[in-house]
Amino acid sequence: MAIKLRGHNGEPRNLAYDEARAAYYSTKRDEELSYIRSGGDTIFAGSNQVELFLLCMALAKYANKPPKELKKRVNNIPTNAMGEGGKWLILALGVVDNKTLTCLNDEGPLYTEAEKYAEAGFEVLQSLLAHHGGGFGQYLEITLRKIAEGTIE
Amino acid sequence: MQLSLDTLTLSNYRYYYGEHNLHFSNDPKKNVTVIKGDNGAGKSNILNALTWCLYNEEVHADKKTVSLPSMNTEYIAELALNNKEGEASVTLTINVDGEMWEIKRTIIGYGEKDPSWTEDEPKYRFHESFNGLKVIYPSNGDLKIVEGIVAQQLINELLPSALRSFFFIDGEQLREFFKVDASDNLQEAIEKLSQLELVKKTESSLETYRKYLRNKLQENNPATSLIQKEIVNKETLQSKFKADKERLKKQSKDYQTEIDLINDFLQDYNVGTISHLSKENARLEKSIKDAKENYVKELNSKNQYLVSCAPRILLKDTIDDAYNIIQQLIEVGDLPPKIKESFIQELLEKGTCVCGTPLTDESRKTLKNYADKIQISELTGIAFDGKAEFAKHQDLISEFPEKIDSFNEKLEYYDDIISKFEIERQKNGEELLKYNISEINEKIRKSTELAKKIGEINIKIKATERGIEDTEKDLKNLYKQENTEKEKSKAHSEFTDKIELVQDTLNVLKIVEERVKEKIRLSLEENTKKYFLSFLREEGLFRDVMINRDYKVSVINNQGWNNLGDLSAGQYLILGYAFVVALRTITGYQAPVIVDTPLGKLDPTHQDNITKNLPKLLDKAQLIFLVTSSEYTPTVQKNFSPYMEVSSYYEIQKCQNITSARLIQNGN
Repeated sequence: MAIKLRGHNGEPRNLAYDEARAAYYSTKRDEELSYIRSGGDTIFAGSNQVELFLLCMALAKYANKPPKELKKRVNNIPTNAMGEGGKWLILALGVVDNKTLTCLNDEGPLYTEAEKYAEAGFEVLQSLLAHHGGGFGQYLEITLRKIAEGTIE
Repeated sequence: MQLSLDTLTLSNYRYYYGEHNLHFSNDPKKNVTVIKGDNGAGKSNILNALTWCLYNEEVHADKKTVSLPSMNTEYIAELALNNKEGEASVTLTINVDGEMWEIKRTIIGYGEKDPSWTEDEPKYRFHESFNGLKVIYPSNGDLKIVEGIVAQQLINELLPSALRSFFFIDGEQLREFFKVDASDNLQEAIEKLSQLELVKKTESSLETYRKYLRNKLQENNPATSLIQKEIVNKETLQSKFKADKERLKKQSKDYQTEIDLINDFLQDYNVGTISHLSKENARLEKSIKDAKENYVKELNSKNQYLVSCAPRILLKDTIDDAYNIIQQLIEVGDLPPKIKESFIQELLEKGTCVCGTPLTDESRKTLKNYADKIQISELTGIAFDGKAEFAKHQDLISEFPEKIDSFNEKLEYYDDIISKFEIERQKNGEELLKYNISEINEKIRKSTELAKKIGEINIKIKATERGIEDTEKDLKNLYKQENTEKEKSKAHSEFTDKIELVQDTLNVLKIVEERVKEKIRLSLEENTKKYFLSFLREEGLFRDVMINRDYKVSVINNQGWNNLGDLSAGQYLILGYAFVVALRTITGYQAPVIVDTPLGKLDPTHQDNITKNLPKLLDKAQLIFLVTSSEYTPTVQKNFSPYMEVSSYYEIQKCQNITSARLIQNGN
């Protein structure tokens, strides 16, 4: 039986990335810079903007990168496209960073913080892609396995 | 008549530069001669030399020799360089009923440099200036020499050209003998063996005489002149139809021969194998494409899974921490049931309890703390939702290694089968490269075109046959009318009597001809069946061989079906041998049998059977076998040895290049 979810407080309608990242978040097939366009050569080819956003956000947190302000916001990622699973990743970050649940009374700032994490994480992703090139997928797989199995140093 | 070969001398003929002699045993008990040579060494040149010498035709003209002159090309080059004329010849001495005959065919000509001649690639042309046949034979205690057409007629009487395919045998062609429409070949053989030439000549003379008589009758009996004229017209028309039919049949046969040559070529190139390899290649291409598509599909699924899992796993600690924060709050009871915040505020503002008792400082402090907690209690529901989501994330993280292993196993599987298929495709491709596909396709196209032409010719033949039938009916009516007229006029009884006599004689001759042919046909059928069944390894596989009145051959299997079209290559060859033995048994015609590649398509058991029985069944007849090393197995050698003199074994040694060969007697 599906659990009836309670409403979120202050959840924004859209999430933003910095204008400088717009080409990378583009879903247009002919945007060569896009990480997620179908037929592209990254492991994100065919993924959506939400998945790229969450990955960047998680990378920043994982790499202990401080959140980074967006210079010019592009509100382009519908929050609803995230699903509850995605939203709770953002909220988990907020709860842990604030060490309290009261931050959930207004989720708006948590989403803004998540955007900053994603911006910082984007730089991490770019540097990983530059470093590993076509082997990024393999690097990611090995890293994720180690984390999941608890064997990471 | 007894006819056997004594010596064969090749002088600058095809592969044989200089002079080469072959001696054949005339001992009826040692009747086998073996000439062994590799493919392309010059074996078939020996068979060709015999038919060239006797008939100026080469029975086994393959793709290479057909374009080369009969004179040895090394010798032509020598002539060209010395700027002189030279000759090539084949001389055959034969024993005819104990008397020696010498038959010699000679060509004279000169060679010259081809315009494209270079030191690196010398090429020459041959110009033939003379081709002649000479026969020296004993006559009334003396030797008589005849040349040209007379010599050729003499040879044709000795061994009719039409019969030569039953004595000078190309193993491959013998195999094909029944495969294609054999009825013409059989009819021809039976006609020749019937020795009805005299009857036919008599028939022809009588026909001419009948025409003469009819003309005379016409002159003397104007009443029948119209009928007579009509008869002559109809007979001329019928002759035309018959000539057309023969011409068309010959054309059809020529086309069929061309198709047979193409089929031989295609058999060399093994079209079945090519077709199989091409199909296999297409199948492998498709399998590789499918496997690659599946690999890419699986890789995309894996990548999507990785990307969707990555944030959860990278945030594993965060998720665990958040989960623990909520869990701790639950455990210490800091997530109370939801109470309206305004209710506490009202109590604090009123300063009294719901029961009216004033609030103590202690009570106020407790209520204030509670008011703070209530702010959290408002979040109790959503926190439980979050906890549930975090638990899901934790499950997903713990499943990750297993799921990713499953993706990797599938990818590895596809990778393996792609490699396997690619290796197979490479092997297949290498195999296919051995064949010249475009040439093969051209041959197949040509064969199809010829088959279509044969179909068209057959329609025309049917039309001529209808013409013959129609004119036959008309002629019958006209003969009746003619008889009626003759009845009316007894004045010309002399001519009419003669015409009647001639007609009666012709009828009798026709009956004789039919009966003789029928007798031979039945005897041939019986003997072919007998030998075919005795040569076969598998007993009970076939039960009958039939040659019907149209000379169509049927091989009846044990279930009563005609299996002729489905015989194996070896079974066709065995049927051919059975037919040759049957022909000789019936006629008693003793001429040498020379077979090129006699055992090529036979398995060891059948090779054993044939080599054991042929020398016995063709008792007293010379048997000359042109064999390859692979045919001349120890078993074959053992079977032939009782029928061979030591000197009856030759080996053809190929010299340096393909245009030279030499014969080594007795293997020395």
